[in-house]
Amino acid sequence: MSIQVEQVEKTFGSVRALGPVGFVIPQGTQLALLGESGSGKSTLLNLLGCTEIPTKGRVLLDGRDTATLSDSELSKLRLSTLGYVHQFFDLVSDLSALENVLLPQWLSGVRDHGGRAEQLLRELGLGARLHQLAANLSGGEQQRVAIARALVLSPKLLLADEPSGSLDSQNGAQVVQLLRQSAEQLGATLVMATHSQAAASQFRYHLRLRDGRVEHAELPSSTSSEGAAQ
Amino acid sequence: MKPRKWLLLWALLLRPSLRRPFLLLASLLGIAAGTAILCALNLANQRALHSFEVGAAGLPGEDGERWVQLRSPRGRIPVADLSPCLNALPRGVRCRGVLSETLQTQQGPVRLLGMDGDFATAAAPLFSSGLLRKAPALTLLDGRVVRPAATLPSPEYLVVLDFPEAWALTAGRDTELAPGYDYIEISTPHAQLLTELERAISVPVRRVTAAQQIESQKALTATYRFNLRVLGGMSILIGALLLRNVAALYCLLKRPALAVLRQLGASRRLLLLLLLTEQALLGLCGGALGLLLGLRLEAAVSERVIQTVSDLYVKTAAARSELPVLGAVLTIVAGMGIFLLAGAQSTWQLASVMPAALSKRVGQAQDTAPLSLRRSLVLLLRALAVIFAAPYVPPVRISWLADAQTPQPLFGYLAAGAVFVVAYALAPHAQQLWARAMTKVFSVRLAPRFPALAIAARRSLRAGTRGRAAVTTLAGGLGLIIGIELMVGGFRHSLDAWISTVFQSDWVGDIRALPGTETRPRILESELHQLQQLPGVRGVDCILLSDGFVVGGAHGSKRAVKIAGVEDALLPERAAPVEPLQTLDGRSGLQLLQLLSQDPRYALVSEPLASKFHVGPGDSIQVELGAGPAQQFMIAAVTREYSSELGFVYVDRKLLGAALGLDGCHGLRVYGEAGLASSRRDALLAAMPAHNPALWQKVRLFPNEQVRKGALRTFDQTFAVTAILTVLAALLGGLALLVQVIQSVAERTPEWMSLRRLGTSRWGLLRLCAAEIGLAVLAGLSVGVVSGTLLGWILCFAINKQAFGWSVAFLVPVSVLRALILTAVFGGALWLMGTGLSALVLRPADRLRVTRE
Repeated sequence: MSIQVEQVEKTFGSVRALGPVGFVIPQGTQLALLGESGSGKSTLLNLLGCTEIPTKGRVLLDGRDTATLSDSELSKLRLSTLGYVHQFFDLVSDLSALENVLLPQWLSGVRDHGGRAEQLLRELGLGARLHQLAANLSGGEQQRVAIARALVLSPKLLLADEPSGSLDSQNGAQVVQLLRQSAEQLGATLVMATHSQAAASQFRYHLRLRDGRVEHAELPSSTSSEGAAQ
Repeated sequence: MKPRKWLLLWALLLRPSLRRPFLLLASLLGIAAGTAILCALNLANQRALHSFEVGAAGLPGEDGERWVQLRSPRGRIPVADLSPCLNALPRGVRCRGVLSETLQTQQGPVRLLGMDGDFATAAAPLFSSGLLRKAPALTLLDGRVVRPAATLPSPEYLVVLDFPEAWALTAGRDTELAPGYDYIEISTPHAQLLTELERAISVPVRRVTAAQQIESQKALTATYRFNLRVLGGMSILIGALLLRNVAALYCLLKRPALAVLRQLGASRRLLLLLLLTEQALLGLCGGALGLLLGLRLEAAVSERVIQTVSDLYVKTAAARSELPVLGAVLTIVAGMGIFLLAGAQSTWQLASVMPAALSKRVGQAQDTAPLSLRRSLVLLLRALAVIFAAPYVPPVRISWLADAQTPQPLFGYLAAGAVFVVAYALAPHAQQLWARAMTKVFSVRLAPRFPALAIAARRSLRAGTRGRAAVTTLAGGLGLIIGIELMVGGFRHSLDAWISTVFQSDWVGDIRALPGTETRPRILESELHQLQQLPGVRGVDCILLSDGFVVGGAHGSKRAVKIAGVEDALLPERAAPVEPLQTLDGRSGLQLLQLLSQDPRYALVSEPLASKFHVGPGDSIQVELGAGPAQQFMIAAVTREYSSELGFVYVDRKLLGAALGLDGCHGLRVYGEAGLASSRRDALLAAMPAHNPALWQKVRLFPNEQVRKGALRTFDQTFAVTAILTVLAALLGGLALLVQVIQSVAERTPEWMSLRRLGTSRWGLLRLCAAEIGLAVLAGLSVGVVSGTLLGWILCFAINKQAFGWSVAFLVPVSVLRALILTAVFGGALWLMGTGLSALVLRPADRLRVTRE
């Protein structure tokens, strides 16, 4: 999935959290989104993930302007084409590991009787934990469940918000590797927000934010950020 | 492809709810309580209505419209009067004498009809089909068994016997009264035939049909029964407050799971569908439970309602009520509807926020809407305008609502609802004011010494609208209790004042004729004179009772009333008489009785009657005494007499006696010497029967204390059903407390964990909880007192005045306020116990669950 961000701004009340920013991410790109806390990484990811609407500007996913889509169209978009991995995993604690991964299938009506979900969990080393409640898993295990959930419907765009932030360095590195490998296998675009240089170093392309603006960008095209130019 | 809704519903909503049994139980009980009360009160209403039909109508299965009843204002019609009627009838016209009584049996009370005349009682005893389903035979209190010989098609508990047998079982059981019929019934009568029959009967009679009798009784009790429905509605309102909190708590607890769903791509519509389906299922279960509870509660409520109607309005029996299938379904649906409506706001808010906002933890700044003083002020002013206008807006008639055929104080009820709006508007601001005051008191300098109070004050100050729910619920519940107690207290004060002035020591007691046949006067003039000659008796007030009609007034119709012929038969040497009547304007009752005896154009009326007909001193009313045409009277004064909703018209005893063709009286009030000691009073009472044994066969003596207790008992019964509302408020308050505990724990657990990790001790957490709860209780209590006072004012000056015509003193019952403060403190302590226990068991080492719950 290709991403186009044009003069996007996002304000919450009187606070401008992001923008104006603009860039293009071609399909299949793996990009690290860098910046300190409060730089606007999560806000940008929320805009790309269609969980927020920009105050100004446009976000185009495969040419579709997200601001013009209705809530149900955005929901369909999130369900069918996006996979999201959070820093705090965002699993449903009352569901088992397998049920958490099955959630997107339940939402979309796909019935493969848990085949793909189970396969993903086994590939991620959680074969013995399928029926454990999410609340009873370790941090690393929960993050792997979250990754499996993000991949179960073969998304075209993978977004990860500090996926290793709550993990130790070994688990964190494993998670980042998993995400990159999965994105490559699916041919999906991957945007991962991180403040860890070690994690970012695994990516060829970077976008650095500071105070809501693009400070520096290394992207596949020759586009430079308008924010940095400003 | 469509989402797998049932799977999502089960896994994400229903199954987690089942894992929270306390919350589930609280919600089910809340829905059930409101539904049960609504069901019970409506069924009791229906039962009262059915009772009138059974009591007034003829035999089931017959065409009631064709039958005319002849009823005597003097009471029963002598049995000897039936034969002339039967002899005068042409072929094809049927006539019978009917006794309508309540028969007490070991299976409970049943309606008894005793019939004489043109009625085939060869097949008696007849049981109604409804009675037969309840019991194949009736066992009387003396152990005798009555078995049916045939059945009548009727759902009521009805038994038909021959008149002599019926009389022997009921009215004639303990007395030597001559038997008589409650009415004589004639089928297909012609006007001329009726006139002939009336002449043949030895006592004056009036014509009425069963339908008119039923309608008259329904109209008489319409206001009371309308109030029952309003009580049911108010119970829903109170229940809805609780359920609103429950729904908000459900949304709070489900927020993380729903945030994940939205993130993954669930649409708003799907979310709403899931939430509403869960709430509908919960509402259905709660409604079904409420229906079962309501059916059980109905028996107790009905008994109380029927007793109150019998005591204050007309004698009626407890007939059985049945809830049809459609009614049961509607009751359950009502329970579901209440829950859905109560939770509508929380559900909509949850479903409509953007997915990213939904993921944020509750309690972050974006979740706390700031208080708008302007908005609250507008709401408050509008509510107060409605409240203060209520006494001046006249009652209205609603043609499509059967119980409201007589005008009802609808604006008053609206004003009562506006009181809760006042509580809603004031609650968060009251909390803010207290929090602000406490923040100033526990400033930065004092905070280290009182950290719990300092933190609690600042937290409450920034709560915005989040603190509203708990304080509003507390204020609403306390306000309701205060309002009802103000009204009841005012009545009790009026009654106490009346009792203390009237029930003085020289009032020895009442002698009352036994109810029954009125073919001869109960206490003859000669017997009266004999009583007056007894040593120690200084004076006797006489009263002759009858039924009559007031004609015209504001409604231009006939309305049944009680007529009391009164006379103050004082002995000349009696000094400083006690006032036998209390009037609204404070005039002397004794002087007014003397006026009645001197000028028969005057009458006194009781306040309920005066209010219903919008008349007062100086106005005229037309009253039918006996069976003759209406007579015009000028109202000399309005009295404080509330023992019957029919209302009383007081005329001179001799005037009424002439209209009825009677002398003597039905009751006497006997006075002894002034300042009589109770031992002397008892001795005087004991000596009376010896002077005239024949008299004492037909009368009953009520000593002073017994009359006083009877007055208080009537008072208590008047408010018996109101007491249900108070109990309900307390019950729902308890449930609301439970919900509040769960909500507090759910919201505060992450914060408590952080505080414990920082180094706060268990007792420090407990002190923090106590400080916050104390602040909420203070705010709730202060708003509760305001809203309760307003509610009491409306109940006294709008609702009771317009509905029943009662003037009630508006007092501040200090003892009640004291009890309420204790109740609020007790409630706060329970809240603290539940919340504090959860805080106490937290360990600093507990890992924060990273699913953001």
